[in-house]
Amino acid sequence: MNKKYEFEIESLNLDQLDVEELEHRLEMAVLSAAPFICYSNSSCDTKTSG
Amino acid sequence: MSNCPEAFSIHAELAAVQAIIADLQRRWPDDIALEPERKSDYYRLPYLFREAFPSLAGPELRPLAVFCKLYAGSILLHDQIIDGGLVDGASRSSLTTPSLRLLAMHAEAYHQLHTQLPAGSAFWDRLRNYVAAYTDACLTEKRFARGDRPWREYTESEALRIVIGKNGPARIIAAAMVELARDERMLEPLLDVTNAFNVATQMWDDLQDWKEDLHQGTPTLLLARLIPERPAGLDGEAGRDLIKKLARELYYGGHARHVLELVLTALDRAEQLKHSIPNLGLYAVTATLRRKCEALYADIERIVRANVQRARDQPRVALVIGGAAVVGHDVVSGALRYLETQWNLGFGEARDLIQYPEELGFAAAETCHFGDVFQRALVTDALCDADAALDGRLQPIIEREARYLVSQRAASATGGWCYYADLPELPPDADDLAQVMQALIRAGRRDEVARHGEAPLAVLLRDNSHPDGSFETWIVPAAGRRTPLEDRHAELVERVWGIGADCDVIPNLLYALHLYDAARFADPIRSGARYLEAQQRADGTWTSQWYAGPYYAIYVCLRMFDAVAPASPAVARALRALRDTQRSDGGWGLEGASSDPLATALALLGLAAGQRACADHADPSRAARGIEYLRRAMEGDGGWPSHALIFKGFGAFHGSRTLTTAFALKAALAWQDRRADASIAVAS
Repeated sequence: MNKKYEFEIESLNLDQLDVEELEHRLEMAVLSAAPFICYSNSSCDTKTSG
Repeated sequence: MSNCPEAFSIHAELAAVQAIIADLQRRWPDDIALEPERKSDYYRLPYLFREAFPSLAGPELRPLAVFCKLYAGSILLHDQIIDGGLVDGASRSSLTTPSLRLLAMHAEAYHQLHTQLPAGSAFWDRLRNYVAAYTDACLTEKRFARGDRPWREYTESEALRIVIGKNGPARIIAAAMVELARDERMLEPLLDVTNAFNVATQMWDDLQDWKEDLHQGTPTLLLARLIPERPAGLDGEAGRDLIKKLARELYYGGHARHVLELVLTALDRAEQLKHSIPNLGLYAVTATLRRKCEALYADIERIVRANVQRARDQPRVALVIGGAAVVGHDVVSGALRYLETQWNLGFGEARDLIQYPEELGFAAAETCHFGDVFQRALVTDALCDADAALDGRLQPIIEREARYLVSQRAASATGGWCYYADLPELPPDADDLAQVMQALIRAGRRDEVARHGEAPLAVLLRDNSHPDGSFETWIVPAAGRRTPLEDRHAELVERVWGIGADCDVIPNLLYALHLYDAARFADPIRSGARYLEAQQRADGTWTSQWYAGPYYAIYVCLRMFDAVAPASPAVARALRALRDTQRSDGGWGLEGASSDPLATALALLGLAAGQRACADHADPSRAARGIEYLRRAMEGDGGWPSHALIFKGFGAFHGSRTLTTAFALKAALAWQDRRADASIAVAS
């Protein structure tokens, strides 16, 4: 199930690819209230919508 | 959950549950608090399943809801205890109270169920099984967390087994409801639904918290795909490098995509009863998670593909020409190094993202809008400054950036440029127009300004100007000249974006007009400058509507006055504001905060812009101390930290390392130009 983007990336150096915007996008998902809190990770409480 | 028709009644039931727990509290010492501190949607579980059991009325569920809150709250508290979050460092005796609270919460939780579920019912055996599975899952997870088992053994099946094991509390609720309703048929499907739902939320959290989990050594399916062993330490530069490497692997190796696909598959399973129970309260939660997941998935896919495409197609430009590379630790060399890297990466770091509330009617709340036109026009302007000192070596970058800016123009009838190019509801604005005009003109593409800038300029000067010389920030044609989309723009300017002239936007456009055609636009330039003179406050600053702190507005005003009215009395007043606010460390900063490189760069730019008209003998020394402050604040990769700059509404500001660095570059070059012996360090 590990679907890499093989065709495009094989010949590329990963250092040439930006992650800042992707991380920023993930942060946006975190900032919007989480729909549920899980038990498995105690750090989730900061995101609960109660 | 606000769209749930039952929201109000659930709210009332939860309030009743809270009152019952408060009543129970009277039997316990004050320190042994039964009410959980931590909020959780899990406390609502009985109500999310209620529609599966039509025979169960709300009040009948209250004891179960009290159990649910106490039990789930106790597990959250237990998580804190075993994670060490409650140990104060001095003594483990700090665990006494929370441990006793666990006892009390469990006692009262079980007591609630004893009143409703007979001792001989199947429920109690199920409860034991679920709790046992929960403890087993916790222990297994701890073995991975402690390093007793390598993360490579944290396979997908093992991860799912742990997640489902840790779903014990939700399974207890499902089993209790089956028992209360005496409807055994619902047990297996409901368990499957709740297990799937827990998998979905856990996978979603694993992606969101991956860095935190990595730091804490918490194994997750996602981390186990990235790294075979629990990392020994993540401190220092090596740790930061490892995190960056893992981040790249996470996105470009398809792991984020895989986990999001697991979330979506699990959500499908969690909604399997939709055909037979179409109104289960849980669906409001699953629908929200699905929207978030799909929006994130789509954006990650798009960004990854765009970056891969660019890395393949765009020639990597290094400031290495004929074997010469930019070196050195001075401000200019550092900034160029950083901007070169970001250009090769596509300036993702500089891109601004926003989500607008759904009530505005733009798109789903989960939709992100992206903007980088203003930022890249600013960077292009800074690169043009550097290009002059580098004998045109930056032209390949500048040309491509100019082409990019042209490609991002708005598709509306008026044209121009919008801050978020992908948000049709956002009108073009004078600030983006000004910044793009400056960048294109300085890049040698005056023809593109003539082609694409004339229409929005005409609307701005004809329909959005005021007799006092000011003009609106938003460019919207007058009524009767609008398309339907521009009617919507006009309505949103009134209701959301805001009307009025802005002293941090007007000088930027006046300066662009001056660069474009000073003679043709002499009248609006003159009246605009007069307006800004009148708006200057006694302390020499201007009200800044769109930028954090006073220094950006001072800089763009001084730059404009230097170009069009250097003898204006506003110049001396603004310069005094700059000279009076330099700190002892050589930098400038926002009120109540320490010096920062962005405020310092902007202040230095303002100071430089005022030199032609009002130089002070101490200014070179002030500038030298400011540049030295910037040099000290420079980070290892040549860039500067991000600081809030652009106000984007809803109380939020945008800033980026790229923007700070671009202004630092401009500031250093502005003062370097004044030192005959200075030159950019270029290795030979």
